[in-house]
Amino acid sequence: MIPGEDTGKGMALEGLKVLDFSWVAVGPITIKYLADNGATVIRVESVTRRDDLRGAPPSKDGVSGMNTSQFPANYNTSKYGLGLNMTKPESQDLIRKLIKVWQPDVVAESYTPPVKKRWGLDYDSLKELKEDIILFSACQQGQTGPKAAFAGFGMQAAAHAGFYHLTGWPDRPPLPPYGAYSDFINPPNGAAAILAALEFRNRTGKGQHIDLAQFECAIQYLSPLVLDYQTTGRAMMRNGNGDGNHAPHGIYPCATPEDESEKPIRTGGHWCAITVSSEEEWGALCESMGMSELRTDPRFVTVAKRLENSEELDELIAGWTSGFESRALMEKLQGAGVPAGVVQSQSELWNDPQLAHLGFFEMLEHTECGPMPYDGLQFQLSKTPARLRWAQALIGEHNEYVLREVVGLSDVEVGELVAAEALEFS
Amino acid sequence: MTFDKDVMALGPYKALDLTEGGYNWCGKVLADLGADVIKVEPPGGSPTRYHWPLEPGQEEPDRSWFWEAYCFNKRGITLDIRKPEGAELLKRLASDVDFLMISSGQKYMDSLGLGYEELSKVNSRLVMASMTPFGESGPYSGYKATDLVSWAMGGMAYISGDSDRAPVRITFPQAELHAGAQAVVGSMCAFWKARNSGEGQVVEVSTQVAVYWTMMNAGQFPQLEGYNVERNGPYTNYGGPNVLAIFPCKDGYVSFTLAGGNHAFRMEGLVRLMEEEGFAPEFMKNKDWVSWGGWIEDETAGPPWTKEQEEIDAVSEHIRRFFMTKTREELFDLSIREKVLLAPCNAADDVMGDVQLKSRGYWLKSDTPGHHQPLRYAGRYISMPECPISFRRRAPGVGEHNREVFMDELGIGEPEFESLRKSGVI
Repeated sequence: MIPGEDTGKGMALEGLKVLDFSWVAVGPITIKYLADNGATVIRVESVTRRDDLRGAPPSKDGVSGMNTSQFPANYNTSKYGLGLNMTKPESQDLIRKLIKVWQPDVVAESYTPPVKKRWGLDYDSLKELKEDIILFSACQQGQTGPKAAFAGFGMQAAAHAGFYHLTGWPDRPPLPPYGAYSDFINPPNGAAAILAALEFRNRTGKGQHIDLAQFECAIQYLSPLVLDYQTTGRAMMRNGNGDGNHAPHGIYPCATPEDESEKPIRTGGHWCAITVSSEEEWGALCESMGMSELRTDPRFVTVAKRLENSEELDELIAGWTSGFESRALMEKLQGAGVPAGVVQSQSELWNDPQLAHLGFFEMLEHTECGPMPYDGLQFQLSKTPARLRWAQALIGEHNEYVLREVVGLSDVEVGELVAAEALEFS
Repeated sequence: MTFDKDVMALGPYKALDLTEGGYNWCGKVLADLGADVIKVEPPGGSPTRYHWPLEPGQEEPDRSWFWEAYCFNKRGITLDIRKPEGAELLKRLASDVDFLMISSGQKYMDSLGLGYEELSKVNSRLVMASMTPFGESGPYSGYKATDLVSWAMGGMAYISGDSDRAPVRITFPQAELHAGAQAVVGSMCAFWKARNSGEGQVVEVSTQVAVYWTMMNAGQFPQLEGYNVERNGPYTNYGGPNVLAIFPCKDGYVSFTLAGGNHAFRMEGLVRLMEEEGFAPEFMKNKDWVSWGGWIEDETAGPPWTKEQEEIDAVSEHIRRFFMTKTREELFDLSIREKVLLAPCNAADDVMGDVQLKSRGYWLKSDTPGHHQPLRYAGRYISMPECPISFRRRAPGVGEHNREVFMDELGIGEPEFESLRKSGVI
């Protein structure tokens, strides 16, 4: 990518400017929405105090490295890379100058309050440089309150909000849903709030300090359960794949395809999700199974009976599904009007005809790694489509462009930053 | 109830929300940010009014906490858009709104003469968000999906759960909420564009894609590392040794991340805590935690992938013994003090009692018919001090705002209103 070439012209957020100090997942993904939709985003990173995800798997050819890891790359498309050692006073001066000259609409960060203050990134200091600036802060527990100092990952916020308690089997300990689950609840909702705050600023002239507490936002995806608890005194319990109101409702084993030995390695078995939410769908499932007699079987004749005898029912269904390959089974059941879906491994996702039809996955040319596979866009806009404008930048990849074209520094001034060892490159 | 539109981010703007289920989250965010969001339900009420959890002893269709939690702050009308008069009324309403959300597919809206083409003729600035299970076209676009099917097809089920049982979902449905969140950030991008250009557009969201986007780093493992990520019970599953991620303690479980490298100080903090009570073995006291972690040999981030299973098991066992002597809250408080990556695995009752949420004014209280105590709603998903999210109204009853919207705002006279009511349009 030639810096300054793709200005986001015509895109939805053309002209917005964002300075992004955030790291790991929540802040970077939040700002990625803005970058992929045309905002100009400068992301500040450091080699000495590195984004935890740089180096985390998966990586090009399976070899870990600061620049080869795809984990952070997916979250930082379409951003310019400015490499700075923020502990140097010269770096802090440069950032003040950048904000004064460039006048970003939004600054995003996830530092603790004392670090913010030390580096001049607290809201009051930023406000002096741009009166109506919007500061977006993302942390676990919020900027205030007795537990504000707690720092953790999305695994912690997900457990804290209740998702671990609700994942797994009632006869076994709780399980994590894969990964840092709450990190994928917060970003879209945070990005929507930033855009709303910008709209508010345009109307009123007021900026503000947005405080995203990841724990608080995550609870929203379980919020009916707190009302339920207050009125029943019952805290909902994990229930495998069961649904309190419908049966059958589960994930059932399927046959192993003959070409299973193919790479990449896959050991998790083959499964198909099947759910029935009405008598009509129940009838269609029985017909598909060639067991229409189940409809009048006293054990399964009503949904209440099916829930009561769900173990027997699941065994019966599993006996039948085991004879099918999962995709063929999904196609058969969907053809009969029964909601069913393959439990897709990552390999299957990359071969999924529907995702291919949407053009979801993309290859982008990364400066060091060459062509790399990227996660695609989260939504489609019909007139001003978002784009993965370019791959994740190296740390400091666009230092020259930012310092000279954006801030307008002279050779002497750039030389001073070099001499102070303020600039960093990966 | 009156409130000041000027102190809410989206105060001057309006939305029509025709969605069902978790897709309601899109309109919920717009409503929280201050927009006047009107639920448009079929006569008799939305099917979402029957979503569990249900309140025992209340009359249908006003007993769903799911409906209440995801529709408070919205107004509600009934309208049969399948009838020509109903479609005409929706068009009149749509002529003066900024957002419209659907989850029935654009083809269905087209068939009623209410597709984007038609609606944009009466309102060029309209932003229309369409959320579907798999997208509007393509081989699976006609497929039915439920939460479990979306969780399977989007890839999250495959990597969550115990390895000796079937893959699992989160017991409380999540997939549509994620799609709603992608729709709201897409809608806000399109809205920003429309505010600048006067021209609206369509936002399309696939629920399968939204679920994919919760998979953190799993997606590219097959291409880059040569294997699929597999479900691995309570252990992390990024390849390498098994690292326990959920530990039992005196009164339940905690999420704890074992991490050296950059995070060595957190392990050192934990060892200090263990040492204070005689739980730290010599080898853990003498351990160089900086060199212990790391995704890259000479680098310093993340969990100890590169280490021996035997040693990780020994470390985990000593930690487990220590945790067993403490409650979740005790461990959380100690973790804040020593910067340990740990949080309690909470259920709804624990979340309700959380002191941090209380001190930050997280809960929104409402007097609710049939309840002596005001109920607490999970309120503010994000803190925006200049235009705070507030509780404006409970979720609407069936047709609660029909008179207000059709007569006071649309200017329909009493006789016409009555005749529409009698013919079942309203």
